[in-house]
Amino acid sequence: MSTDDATLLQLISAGDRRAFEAFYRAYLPRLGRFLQRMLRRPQMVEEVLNDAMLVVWRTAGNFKGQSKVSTWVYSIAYHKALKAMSKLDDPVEWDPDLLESEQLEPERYLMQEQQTALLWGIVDEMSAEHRAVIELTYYHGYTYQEIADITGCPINTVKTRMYHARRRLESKLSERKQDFL
Amino acid sequence: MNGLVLRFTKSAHQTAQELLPWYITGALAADETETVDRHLQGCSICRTDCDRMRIVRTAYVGRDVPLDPERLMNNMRARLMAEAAPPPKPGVRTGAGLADFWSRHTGWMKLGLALQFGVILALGWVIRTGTEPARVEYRTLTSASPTAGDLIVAFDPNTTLREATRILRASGARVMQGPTASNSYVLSVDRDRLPAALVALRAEPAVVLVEPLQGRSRP
Repeated sequence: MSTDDATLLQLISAGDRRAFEAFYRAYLPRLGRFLQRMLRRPQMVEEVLNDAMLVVWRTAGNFKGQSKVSTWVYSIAYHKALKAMSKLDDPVEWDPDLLESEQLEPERYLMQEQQTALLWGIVDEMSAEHRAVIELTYYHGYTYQEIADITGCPINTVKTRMYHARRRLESKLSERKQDFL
Repeated sequence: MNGLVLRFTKSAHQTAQELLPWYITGALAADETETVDRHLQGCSICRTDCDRMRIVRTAYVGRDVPLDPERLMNNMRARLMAEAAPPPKPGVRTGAGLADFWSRHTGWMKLGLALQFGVILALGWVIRTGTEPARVEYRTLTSASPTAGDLIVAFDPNTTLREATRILRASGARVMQGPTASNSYVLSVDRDRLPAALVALRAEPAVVLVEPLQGRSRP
């Protein structure tokens, strides 16, 4: 557990807004990234992020130190994201033409950035649960135990989701072999 | 599949396959890393998977998504101010005397409590005289406009009562609700004076937030 995070949480539980702002700023980049990949809708990211941080503000005193502070915060954000998406008409299908759109301007991207767009497109077609496991593993570097804590499911479920997500990725990438690997 | 793979038990291979994503990110325990290391020495399939996964991971990480921290933080502050109740404060005594309670709070809280008490008195007077509250009694007879706009304002916690009073008078706004537990107030101002009031309030260093409340115009 990060001592700094735990100390900030203690201060937050006592109503210290400066501590909350410091905590908020520390988590904003990575939590924003996580929610961006989970939600796939940029316009929803900020609202859900602040929904999650409001829960941190309200319930900081409930954190008992049984997990990492970051795991606790991600768990809140994960469930907020699932709840927000449950109100939408999911799934959002990935549009392969997006790579050719003016929005992405592919000519300005290096090869790796095109590969990133391709991968994100494939991952976006997966369920939120599978997206979360990929994001938390590949970008945030969490262990499978921590991901189980965040998502509230058994370790074996995390491993299974990752396994199927990998297979899905490999299958889709094999169709686009000229763009990848 | 080749003969080399068949030398390993199915479970050992499956175990390694399950752990590979966390192996390449260095998120395995030491004994698990050792297990995968041993398996990789003899399994070309897992070695290939490992190499591919590293490439995929590098590409997947990509670029960070830019967010505007100041705008987000300002939105967060506004939501905190709208919160009805602060988080519980462990160790705060309950049932303390009024003098003790008063001495433990800042000038800002005292200002808030004083204004809240004033609003309660006004409402009590309205009820006693049998007049419909708010709609009539919070408007002056000399009001130039029949319509008014609502706005929410919050002061710096160190603002004195005198300073807050001066700021409110200068803006031409009237306190309609508040303070909330998060020390924000709903003000009312004649609609035609709303833009000027917003400018005046935003120019005050002691005002930490002022925003019009859309869709809450008063008749």
